[in-house]
Amino acid sequence: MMTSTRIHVHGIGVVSPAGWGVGSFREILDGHRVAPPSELPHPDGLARTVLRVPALVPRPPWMAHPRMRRTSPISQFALAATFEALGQMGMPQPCPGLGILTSVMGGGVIYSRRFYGEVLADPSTASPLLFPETVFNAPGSHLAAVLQTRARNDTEVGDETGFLTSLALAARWLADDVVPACLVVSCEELDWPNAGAIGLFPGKTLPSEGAAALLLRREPSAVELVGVSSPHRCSHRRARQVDLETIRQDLRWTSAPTTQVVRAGGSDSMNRLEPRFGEGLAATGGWACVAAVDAILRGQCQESVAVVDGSNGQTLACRFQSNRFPTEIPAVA
Amino acid sequence: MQSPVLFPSKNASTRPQRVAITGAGIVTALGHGWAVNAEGFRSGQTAFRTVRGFDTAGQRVQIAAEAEPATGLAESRLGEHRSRRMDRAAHLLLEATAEAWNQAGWAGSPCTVPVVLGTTSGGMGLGEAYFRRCIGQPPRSRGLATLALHYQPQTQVSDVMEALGFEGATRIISNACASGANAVGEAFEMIRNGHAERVVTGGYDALTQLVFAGFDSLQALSTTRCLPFDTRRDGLALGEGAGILCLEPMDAAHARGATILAEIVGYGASTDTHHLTQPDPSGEAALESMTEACAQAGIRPSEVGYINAHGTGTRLNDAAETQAIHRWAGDATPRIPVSSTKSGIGHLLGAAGAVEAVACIMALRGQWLPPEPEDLVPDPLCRFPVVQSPTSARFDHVLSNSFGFGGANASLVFRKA
Repeated sequence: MMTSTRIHVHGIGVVSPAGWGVGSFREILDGHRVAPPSELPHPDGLARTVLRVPALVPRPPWMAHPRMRRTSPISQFALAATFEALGQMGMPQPCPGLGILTSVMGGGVIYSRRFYGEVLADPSTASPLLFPETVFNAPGSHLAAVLQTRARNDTEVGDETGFLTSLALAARWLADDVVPACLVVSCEELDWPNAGAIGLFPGKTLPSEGAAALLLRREPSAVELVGVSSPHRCSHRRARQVDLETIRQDLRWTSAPTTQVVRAGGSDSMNRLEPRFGEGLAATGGWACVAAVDAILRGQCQESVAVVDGSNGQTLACRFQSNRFPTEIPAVA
Repeated sequence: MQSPVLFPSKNASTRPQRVAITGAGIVTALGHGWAVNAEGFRSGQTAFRTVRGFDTAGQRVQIAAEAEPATGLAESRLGEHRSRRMDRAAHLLLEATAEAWNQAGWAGSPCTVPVVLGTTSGGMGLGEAYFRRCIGQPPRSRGLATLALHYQPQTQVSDVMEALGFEGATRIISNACASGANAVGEAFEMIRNGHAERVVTGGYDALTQLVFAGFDSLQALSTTRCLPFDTRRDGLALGEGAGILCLEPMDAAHARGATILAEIVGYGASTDTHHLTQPDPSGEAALESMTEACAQAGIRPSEVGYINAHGTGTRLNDAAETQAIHRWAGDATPRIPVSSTKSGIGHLLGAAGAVEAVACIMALRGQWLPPEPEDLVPDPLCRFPVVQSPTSARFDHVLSNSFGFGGANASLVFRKA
């Protein structure tokens, strides 16, 4: 049962079109360079312009793990972001008891596309090696296997806001003593089915891919997760804007210059992550949270808020604050 | 009234609350609704037939437990146009949710209720249609956006909530075949720990070509009959449907005079890291989830009057689950009846744990044990009795197991109201 509601961030990790790691993420976040677009073929003959994660050279040692042999990029992105959040370099170390929450929207689309293509061509020869990787919880399963944890491990299917609802659940697991530490991950990979789908909706930027990870514990650290809002539904799917003031009141963040707001996931491009990182579906919500935490870690603000507008008509926000500076920031109700 | 924040919980309690089930809805190949399914489970009916929803001609197996299409919901607040856009899975979900919602007596009360559901495929049928249109010669772009939108489980759940006139935070768990049990377990914890006042929970999945072909490619589908724990077992049979529960604190249910169908008293979850699709033969992770669920319920194995096993009918699953039950129950093993309702309705994947939860509640209320086929030849490795004929029994607790791809394991314990 709940003994403490104070939850802290103990690590961040990210894979994005900027590259593998927080360092490259910062370069694009700060405007020092832009992610190069590339062309993704589509069966309709019109290639889609996308932002892809660059190849990882050289291959890190964890790629040699038996579970990683047949994985598609989505699992590799998830693992790379995880290891960075855990502060692990080289071969993975066991993390018994670590809870894992993974959020996806498109999921393992590459193997799904390949497998269903084979089924339509001739189901009797469709590869049994492909099918298991099509399930939504394949990345979360690989994470647990590589980290050797048998603790709670859930995969949530949602939209860009999935990372934030997972943050809230992770915080509850920690507060209720279900797990001693919890990893929250979001991950996506690109293939023509989801790249094509993103292009069907007006206002979306270039399709992209990647992952984000936050490690949460109850023990104090430099950054505290103060609160996660309930979802605010938009009255119409096209009008995804939810009044920021409403969310500000829910999370009681200050309007002081020491507060930094990172917004992502919406269909407009004003002050959002998308023009720089593209539409990364579930990964987008994770990137917004990593950017918000990183702003505190870099001393750019005492408090940060990630506001994420989901494609399915809801907006969620979460608030982080620095533990390095004593503040008068009001607590969430 | 919805809390403005998901975290921290405004009403988090330091004392666990008892969790009442006040509504249940179910759709399977046995039929639509509580009565027909209860009679089907009690008498051990089977509901398999040749698949009609898609072409299975090129595959090893052509049989599944396919549900009759939903006839539409009279009280739906969705217009005809919106209802037409819902796919088979969403209709199964809507029908089961409406039954549970009405049974709980929540209809008509303006409320915000969080929803926690499990599914493996969501709107996969629409995703398949999207794919076929894109690769067609010539490719067809008309309607692709609608398919892409309604393929997503969140859209399906949102449509169902709108149809029944409520709103709230949604959480869709996709832990393969344990999804439904995980959803029920986490909804249980939300009420138990004071994070919510009411929750709609359960699971749903419809048969789709991709998933059917997937299990066929793994040679996991039975080419004969689905016979869990039978010495001749050769695989599982797929099914489809939905199972939905309405949960609320026991005190609140009593206070408003609601009919309490049963109580959820325990939930355990663990991860089997042995292999992506094969369970650890020792049943270690399954043992952990069963142990955790019973510890939370505060009962010993000898107090469990029936186990609704995951029991897929595959060689590996049933062997590992048998090991886990033996290790968990110890000397009590020969006195705990076990069966798998998958022998009658197939494996409902993301809906399995939720539909089997409803079956357990039916068994508790009716005080009977769901049987497997009478001609079943129990595997001699099983030291527990496999229920093979309609059986009356007196018992207070049921344990339900769900194990999935990726190593997702979940166990639930229900108590007679």
